[in-house]
Amino acid sequence: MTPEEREVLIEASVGAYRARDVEGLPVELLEEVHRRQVESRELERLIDPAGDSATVKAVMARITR
Amino acid sequence: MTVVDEHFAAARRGDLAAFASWMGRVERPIRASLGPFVRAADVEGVVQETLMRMWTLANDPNGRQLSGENASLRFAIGIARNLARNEARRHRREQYLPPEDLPDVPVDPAPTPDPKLRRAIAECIDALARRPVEALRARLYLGAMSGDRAAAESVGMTLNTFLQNVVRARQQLARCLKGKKVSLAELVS
Repeated sequence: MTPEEREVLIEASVGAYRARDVEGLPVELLEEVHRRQVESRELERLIDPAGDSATVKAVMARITR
Repeated sequence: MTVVDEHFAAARRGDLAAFASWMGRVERPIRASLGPFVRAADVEGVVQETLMRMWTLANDPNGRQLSGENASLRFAIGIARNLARNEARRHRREQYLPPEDLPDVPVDPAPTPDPKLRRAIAECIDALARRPVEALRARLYLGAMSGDRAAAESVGMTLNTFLQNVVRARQQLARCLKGKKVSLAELVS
């Protein structure tokens, strides 16, 4: 796996949408996925006008669906 | 009564906006409490399922009454860890589970974001190259509800190109923030 392929593989599991989970990912990549998820959710809170992370948005979408 | 307790009490009276505020406060400590389960379960999925179960509890007139400081957060952390253990067993990842007598984690709710940090990030996002910023924004505003594939289609990219652009956005953002003496790692410390 090239470094670029590794980056894309990790990034594919970082999003908050959960039609799939990280079950198919190699275990050695899971720590990095988690680190980026934490980083992404914090960034989202800072960027979003309402201060919501993608996790909060995803749960709100499920509640109001 | 803490702000977290107040938000959850309002959620129990049917206030959805209060529940969203409650989630914003507790998401970070719930996720942090799942750090030892990273190899055993899908932490993002567990966090979301925990929040859904807390919404169910908030709407159950016969639901368990919670008492004590930050009781709803402490209860949610217990749910999260149980869900993570169950998921690990379901996916035969028990070997990656931490010990049962895991120490408690600090349950301080997330702080209010620093306006200076928020401004630095906004400036760096505005400075990103066009395609990476399109991908990042699409993920932020569409990805959470509809997934990366739908977000990619909304900006005319294949999924793979979209993910490559998100990676580039993340790298460019980290470089820009470094220039402003802000590290992405500081955001989560």
